[in-house]
This record gives sequence, structure tokens and C-alpha cells, in this order.
Amino acid sequence: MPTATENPNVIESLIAGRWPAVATALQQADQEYGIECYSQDNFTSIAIDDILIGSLYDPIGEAALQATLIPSHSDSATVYGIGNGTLIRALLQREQIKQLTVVILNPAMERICLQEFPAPDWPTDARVQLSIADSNSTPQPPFAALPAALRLANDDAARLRDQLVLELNTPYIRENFAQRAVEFRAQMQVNEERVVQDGDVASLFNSRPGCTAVIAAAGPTLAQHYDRLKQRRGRFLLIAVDAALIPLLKAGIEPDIVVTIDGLRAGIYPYFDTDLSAFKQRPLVYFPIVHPDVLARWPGPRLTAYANHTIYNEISKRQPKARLFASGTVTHAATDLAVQMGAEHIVYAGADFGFPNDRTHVEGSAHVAQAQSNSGSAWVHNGHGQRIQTLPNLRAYLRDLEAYIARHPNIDFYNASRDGALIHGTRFDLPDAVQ
Amino acid sequence: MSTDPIQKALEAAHAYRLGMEGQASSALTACIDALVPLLQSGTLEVPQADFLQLLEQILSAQQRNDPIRLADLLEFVLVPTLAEQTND
Repeated sequence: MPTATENPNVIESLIAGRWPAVATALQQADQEYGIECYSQDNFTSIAIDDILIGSLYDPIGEAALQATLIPSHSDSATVYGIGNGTLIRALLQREQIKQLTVVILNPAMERICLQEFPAPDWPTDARVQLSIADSNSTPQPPFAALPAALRLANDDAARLRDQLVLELNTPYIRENFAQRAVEFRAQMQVNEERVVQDGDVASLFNSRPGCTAVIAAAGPTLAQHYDRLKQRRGRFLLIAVDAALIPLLKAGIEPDIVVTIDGLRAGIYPYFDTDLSAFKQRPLVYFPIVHPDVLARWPGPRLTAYANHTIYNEISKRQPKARLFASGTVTHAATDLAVQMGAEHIVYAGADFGFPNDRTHVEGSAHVAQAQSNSGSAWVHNGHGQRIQTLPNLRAYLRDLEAYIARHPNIDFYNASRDGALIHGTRFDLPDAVQ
Repeated sequence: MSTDPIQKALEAAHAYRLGMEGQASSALTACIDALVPLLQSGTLEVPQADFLQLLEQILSAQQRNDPIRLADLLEFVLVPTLAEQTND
């Protein structure tokens, strides 16, 4: 089969006829990439900016493996990325497939693929629909995604890329949590006596209707807001995640409520290893998997909450308490607490979900460090439209928070800094209470 | 029970091809951890310099997040190399 370089009009002839807007975008994509071609036995592949697009040894086997992500009975599927086209062909061989949507995550990359790999036949298949991802695109299951397409996703496709990666890694995340569940259940058993005596987070619900709540997280940009928070203290509800507690206290700021949900003692205990005498009247909201030593540190009232997770099913039957949303980070729980308390304005201070200025946490936090970066590091856009380094889990927490925000259109969410990750659904013009 | 580096290499390769970064990274770590004692004990019959070069390629591909190349190195270079050791 002739390659597209031998038939340079493949884009025009095969794609422009059905998807003229896509063809235009492919032709106009101006990102410059380095290209290397490889061959091994009977197969060829290319690397774009040193990222191999498809297997050099067994592209057919690779596509067959990737196709297993689409249930055999599915009559429709989505493929993210074109690459060598082998996955698309593999799925089109299924008679059950009545519609196959191919979504481009990087037009410049895929133009190269269309030119360098054997000329595709799939654009003439009536079952195929071709489109280009934009900032509003969301995952369409069932789907498979080419890893190289995820790796080379452009800025417009970045949020979709993050959501796809989160979906693909959810089974692993759940399995990882399940492996720790034994340890967490044991801690919960020890804590149950406290849970019986402690209050219910529901006692806070609807207690501050119409308020402005500031969620203090422990990202580096928290320090940008110390003066503002001190000068306007009393005009807003201040909810601090555990990791932000000591930095706030060092800055002379005492939060109204502190939230802690993680069961790992080594990570969490240092956040409470300080003078907490100011909190004899202020509540700690916690999930009962938190290590008992952490809970013992708190001098004030404790309020139990549960996440919407099966690990809490048994204890919640014996000790009914309210639930808070949390999908991996305490920032989620703090947000849902603010919402449940009645906040109409929620301001994030230090919710960076990344490493602005290559720092991992705000100065004074127990785990602050210099971020280690390399060319393959995960990234997100900050509020200036620039890429900042992050970790895959932080990126996942960010996208889950954005999904939560989207489910609460009646609440105004704000991001107090542009230097951390851009949080879709937040505004930068701050409400009066923290102006 | 000791970890089988071949099994972990294949698990990592498949996970990388599927975009399952978490599982892939975990399996790769387990594979590398299982290889270290073999290298230190000198039981590998392949020249150590060649093997170290292969490991460098693997770690380089991991660092720049080059999942398909990483999967190819694991599945079609490392695994056959390790399998030869077992068959000898």
C-alpha cells in the first residue's frame, strides 16, 4: 500500500471530502516536531519529538490489546488518536461496530502520522466519524486512547487528556486503595470509640448560609494571601486542609475549621505536630480512617464525616454520620463542607494542583520540597496559560474538583492566584469579603 | 515469595500500551527491584555493560514518558534477554 508521502493528497482526498473543517485544521496545524523513522523486520514506526507512536515490533498485537478496552458487544466506540491507524482498523473489523468516533488530540501530530504511516483506508468507512478535541470535550465511553496521543496532546486537548488518563487509571487507584483498606479498617476500628463520642459533621450544615468561605490548601501560592487573610479575618469562613494548618499558624492566621481525611500516619501526623491550644473551641472534621494518633492531637471538638466509599458502609450503619465528597484529596472534602454549610462564594487559596515556581508545597508545610522535573513530567495550565509541572494524581484531583464545581452552578467559585493550576469553573475576581 | 521480573515486565508493557500509567509504573518498579539482586549476584550471563545499557534505555524512556518505546523495550528486548537466562 503506498504511503501517504507517495500519495501526498491523502488528507485532502480522504478526509477533506467528509470532514473539511478537520482537514483544514490538520493542514493549518503549525507545531514543528522532530521526526525519526524506524523499521524492524516487517514493521515501521515513527517517533515524534522522541515519542514513539506505535509499537515497532508488534503493532498488530498492540492494537489487539488496546481494542480489548472496548467491550466485544459494543456497537459504538471512541478512539483518541490516529497514530499508525492500526487500532482504528482493528475495531472496524468488528461487525458489531456501527459507529466509531476518532478524536484527534493534536492535529500537528496526526498530520505527521497521516503522512508517514501507510495511507489510511478507514476514512472511507461510513461508520467512522472524525473530530478534533477542544477544551470542552469530555471522555466518551467506551473508549481506547493511544498512549502517544495522550502524551502529545496539545493545549486545547489538555483537560480531555487528563480526564482520559484519570478514567484509564481509576481501576489501579481503586486497587491501590483496597490494598490499604486492611490498615485503614484497623484504624477505623480503633477510632470507633471516638466516633461514638464525637459529633456529626452534619451539625455544621446550613450553619453559615450565604457566607464566603476560603478554602486554604497547602500549595505554594497560599503564602501570597496571608496579608489579605489577616486583614480581612472575620469577614469569611476559613476552612483549612490539614497540610495548610502549620503554615497558617506561622503566619498568624487561625482557621475556623480544619479538615483531615487521609489514613497514612507518616504523611498526616506532622501536620498536627504543633501547638494547637488555639483550637480548643474549633472543630476538626475528619474521616475515621485517619490515624488515631492524629485525632488524639486535636484539643477541640471533633466532627466525623464519611466519604461516599464502601469502606465506610459498615461503620455508617452503626454510627450514622453525614457524608462529604472526596475523590482522593482533602480539598474536595473541604469544598463540600463549605457548600453544605451554605457558602455562596468559595475562594481557593493555595489550591495549586501543581508546582508553581517548581515548589511542591507552601513554605512552612511539613513536606515542602523542590519539584523534580524532566521532559516527561505531567503538566497543567496555570492561570496565565503557561504549563506548570504537576503529578498525575494532583491532575486527577483537579479534574474531579472541576466536575464537582460544574455540578454546583449556583455557587461562585474563585481562585485567588493565577500561578497555580487553572481550575475550570473558578473566577479570579475575588468576592467582597476577601477583596 | 520473590517477584518474577519477566512477569512484571510484561505487566508493565501491557499497561503502558493501554495508557494505564499507575499500574505500569508500579509494575516497572517491581521489575527493576527484582532485577537488582540478579545484577548484584552476577548470575546474569549477558555482559553486564550491555544489560546496564538496556536498563538505561528503559529508565530514559520512562523519564521522558515515552510509553510505547518503553513497552517495546520491556516486552521485546528485556523479556527475551531474561528468558534466555532461564533457559540456559
